[in-house]
Amino acid sequence: MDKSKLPALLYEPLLHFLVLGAALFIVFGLLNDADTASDKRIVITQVDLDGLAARWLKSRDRPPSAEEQEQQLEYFIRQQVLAREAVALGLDKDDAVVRNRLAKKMQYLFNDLSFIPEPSDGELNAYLNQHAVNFTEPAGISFQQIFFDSKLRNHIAIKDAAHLINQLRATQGVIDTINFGDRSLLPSEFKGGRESQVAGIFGSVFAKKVFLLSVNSWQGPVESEYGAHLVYILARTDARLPPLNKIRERVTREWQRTKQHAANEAFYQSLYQAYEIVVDATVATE
Amino acid sequence: MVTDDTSSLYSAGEKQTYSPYAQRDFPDTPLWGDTHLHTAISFDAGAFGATLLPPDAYRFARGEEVVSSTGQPVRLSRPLDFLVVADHSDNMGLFPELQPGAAFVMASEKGRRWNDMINAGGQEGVKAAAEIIQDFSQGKFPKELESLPGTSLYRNTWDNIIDAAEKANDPGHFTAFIGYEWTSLDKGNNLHRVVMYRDNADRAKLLEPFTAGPPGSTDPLELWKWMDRYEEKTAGQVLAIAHNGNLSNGVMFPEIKTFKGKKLSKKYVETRAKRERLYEATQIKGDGETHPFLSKNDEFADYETWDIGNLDISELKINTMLKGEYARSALKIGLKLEKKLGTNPYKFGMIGSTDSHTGLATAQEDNFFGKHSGGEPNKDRYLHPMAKVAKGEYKGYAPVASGYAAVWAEENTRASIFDAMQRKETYATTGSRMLVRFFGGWDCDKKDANSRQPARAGYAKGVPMGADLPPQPEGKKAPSFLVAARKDGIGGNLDRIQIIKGWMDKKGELHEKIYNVVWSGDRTLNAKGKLSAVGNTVDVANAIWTNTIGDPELISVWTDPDFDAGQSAFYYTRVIEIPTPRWTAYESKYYKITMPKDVPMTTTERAYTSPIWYTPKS
Repeated sequence: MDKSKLPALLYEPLLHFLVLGAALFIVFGLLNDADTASDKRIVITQVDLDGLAARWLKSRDRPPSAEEQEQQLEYFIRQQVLAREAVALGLDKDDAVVRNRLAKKMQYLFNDLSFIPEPSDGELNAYLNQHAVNFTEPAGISFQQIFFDSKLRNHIAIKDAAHLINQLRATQGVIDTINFGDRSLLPSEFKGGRESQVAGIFGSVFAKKVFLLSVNSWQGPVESEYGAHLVYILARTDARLPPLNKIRERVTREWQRTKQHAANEAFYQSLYQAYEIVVDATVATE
Repeated sequence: MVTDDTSSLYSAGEKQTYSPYAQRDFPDTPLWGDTHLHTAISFDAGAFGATLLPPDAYRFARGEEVVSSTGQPVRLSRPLDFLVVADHSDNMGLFPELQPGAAFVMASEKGRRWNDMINAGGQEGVKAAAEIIQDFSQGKFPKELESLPGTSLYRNTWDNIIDAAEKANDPGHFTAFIGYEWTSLDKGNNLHRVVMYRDNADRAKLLEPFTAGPPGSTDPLELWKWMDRYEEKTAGQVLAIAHNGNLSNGVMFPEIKTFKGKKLSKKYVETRAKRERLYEATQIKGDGETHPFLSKNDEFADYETWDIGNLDISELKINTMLKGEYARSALKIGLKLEKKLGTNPYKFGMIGSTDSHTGLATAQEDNFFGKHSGGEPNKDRYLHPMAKVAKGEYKGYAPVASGYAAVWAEENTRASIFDAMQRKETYATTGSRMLVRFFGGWDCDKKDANSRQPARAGYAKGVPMGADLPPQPEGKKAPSFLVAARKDGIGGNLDRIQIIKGWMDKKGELHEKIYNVVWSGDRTLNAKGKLSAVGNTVDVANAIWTNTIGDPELISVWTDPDFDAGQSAFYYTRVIEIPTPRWTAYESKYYKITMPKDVPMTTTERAYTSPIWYTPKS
C-alpha cells in the first residue's frame, strides 16, 4: 500500500485505534465463528486454496505441482487440527513461544495499521535540531607537522622543537617540512580527517591537543607517544550540523523510526491502561 | 628558507624536485577495509539472528553508529575506507522466506523445523543455523527449499545487494564493493571464495552470481569459468579470494591432485594464478598464516589456531592435511609446482578480513561483535559453542577478533583498490591498523632506512610487496629489503619485524626460515638468530596494557645472508605487536565474569605482507 497517497485524516491517532479496533473485531469474529460453528469441522474454501497457490507462485516462480499442492494442503489441515486440539487442552497458556509470537503478531498488526506519513520539511528540520547531537558531523582538521623523536633525542626533543619554532615563525613563505626534524613514518601532512582518524595515526593524546591549536601559524611543541611535534594547522572545520537537504534520507529514516516507536508505545499504553496489575505474594513456588 | 640548525640526526632530504610532494604518485597511508562481510541476507546469518542488511553494514563501516541485531549500539573506533558485502550466493533470498514461513517452506519438513527454531530465536536460532550449515556442508540441503539463480526471488535479492552498494559507494571517501561469497563445500571441507567486482551495477547486474549448489558447482575450475563468462559478457573484472584453508582438511592448496581426484593440470595452475591473486590469511575462524606442526622453529606459529577438523567437524584433522591448508606452506608448494608445471598457482598476496555474519565489520579486541548475532557481546557468549557435534566443538571463546585488509591504493575508488589488489600491494592484519612498508631490490642500502621518505627510496630502488624481484644485475650478490612499520595510533607498540623466507633447493626440497630483522629494546640475537620475548604489560583483570615496552616505529634494511641465485624463493614480512588484552579479557571485565583458565586472555596482533618473489634465470 502506498501510504503517502492516503488522506491526512488517516494519520489521526484516534482513527488508528478505531480502525485497529474494527480490524481486530473482524479478525477475531471470523475466528470465533469458525470455532463455535463446529469444533470438529474444518472448511477449506477456494479462497484458502488460491491463497496457498498464490503464495507458492510468488516465492517459487511456478505453481506447486499436484503433489506439492496436496502436501501443502495436508500440512495446512494438520496444523489446523493439532492447533485446535492444543488450544482446547490449554497448551497455549504459559508457553513463552506462543506468547512471544502472539505479542509480535499484535505488534505487527498495529505496525501495519499505523500510518506514518511522509514528513514535511518543517517537521524534519525540527527533528534535526532536536536531535542535533546524532546528526552532527565531527570536527575535521588538516595540518603539517615536524617531528622530533624522543627516542633519539631523549628528553631534549621538546627543547629542540621549541628552538626551531621561533625560526619557523620568523620565516615568510613556504617551508618544506620534509627538511626538518627527524625521520618518521608519520605523515608530514595530514589531510581532512576527524579526531578518531588523527588518533588512529598519531595517538589519542596528540589528537585531542591538535584540535585546540590556532590556525595558520606554527604551534607547539605538542607531545605524543612518539615524541614532540610542531604543528601548522592548514584548515579546521568545526563540528557542524549539516543542512537538511544533505542528509534528508537519514533524517527521514530516523524521524519515521521515532514516530513508529512513539505510536507503538501509545498503542501499548492504551491497552495497558485497561488492565489491573496485581502482585499476589500468596501464590508462590514451593 | 631557514636551515635546520637543530641538526636532524638523520640525513636530510634527498628530494628530486623543489616540492617534496611533487612527482610523488604513491600514497602516505594504506586504505583499510574488510572484503568479507555477511548480512542478514546470508541464509545462515539470518538464522543466527542477524537483522542488519547491506545498507546498515555500509553505514557502520563508514563510521556511523548503528544498533546491532541484539539491540546494542555500536560504532567503529574509526571508519574503514572500503567494504565488500559478500553474502552467500547459495540460497540468496531464502532467509526472508524462511522466517515468516512462506508456503514452500512450510510444505517441507526441514523448512517447518527451521522456521520453528528461528522463530523461537536465541540459541534455538543458532542451532537452526548450525543445522542449515551442516546440511549444506554435506550436500544434503533440502532441494525443495533452495533459492536458485534464475528465479525472481533470487534476482530481486541480487539487485537489492547491488543497489545498496551503489548507494553507499562514495568515490574518494568510501568504497562500497559489489561482491558475494561462493560457498563451496565438499563433504564439509571448506573451499569458499569471495568474489568481488571492480565494476558498477550496470555490469554486475548482467549476470547472477555463481553458486556451489546446482546450477553451479563446488569445483573452483567451474567458478573460474564463470568469472571468464562474466568478463566476456560484460567487459568487466572480478577477482576471487579463498579463505579458511584451515577448515579444508588439506584440499585448499593441493600439490598433486584436486579434491576431485584429478591431477593438477597446467590449466589449473595457470587459471588459479590468474584468478586468485590474494588469500585471506586471517579471519574470525582462525589464523591461516602457518601452523606449529609445519613451522616447528617458529615461536609465533601457534596464533589463534583452529585445527580440530573441517568446517562442520564431520572429519577430524590429521597432521598430513596441514600443508595443504596454510598460506606459508602454499607459498612454498607453489615454487615446486612452478618448476613442474611452468606456473606458480599459489603466487598470492595477503589480506585479512572478518567473515562476520553480523553486518558489523569489527576486528578490534575491545569492540568485537563476534562471528554471528548469537555471539554478540553477552555475558554467556564464551560458553556457547560456535559449533558442536559428536566429534568435537568450536568453543564460544575461540572466535578471533580478526582481521582487516590494508591496500596501498592511490585513490579510494573501486578501480584503484581493485587494481592494487590485483598487483598484490596489500597486507593482512589481525585487526590492528599498523602501517607496514616492504620493498625489495638489488640497490637498497642501510641509508635508505634513514630516509625521510622511505617509500620514495623503496619505489625508486626496488619493488613493493606483491611483486617480483627484477633479474639479478651483474655484480649484485644478494637482494636487500627495506622494511618499516608504525604502530596503530591507538594500539600496542611493536615488538619486532621479521622477514620470512621460503625457498626450494636444488633437490626440489622446500624450506623456510625466519629472520628477526629489527626489534625494540636492547635485546640481542642469540647464536640461532632468536630473540628473547619482548615482555608483557597486560593487566588482564583491568584489560589494560602500557606501551612502556616495544617501539612505536621500526625500520631497517636487510640483505639476505643465505641467498643462492639458483634457488627460487619468496620473502614476506611479519610484524608482531607487544602483548595486549584479547577480546575475552575486555568481555570478562565488562560483564564482571571469570572465564575458565584455558581461555586465552592476551593476544599479539600481527601483520603479514604480501611476499616478494625471486625466480632464478632459466
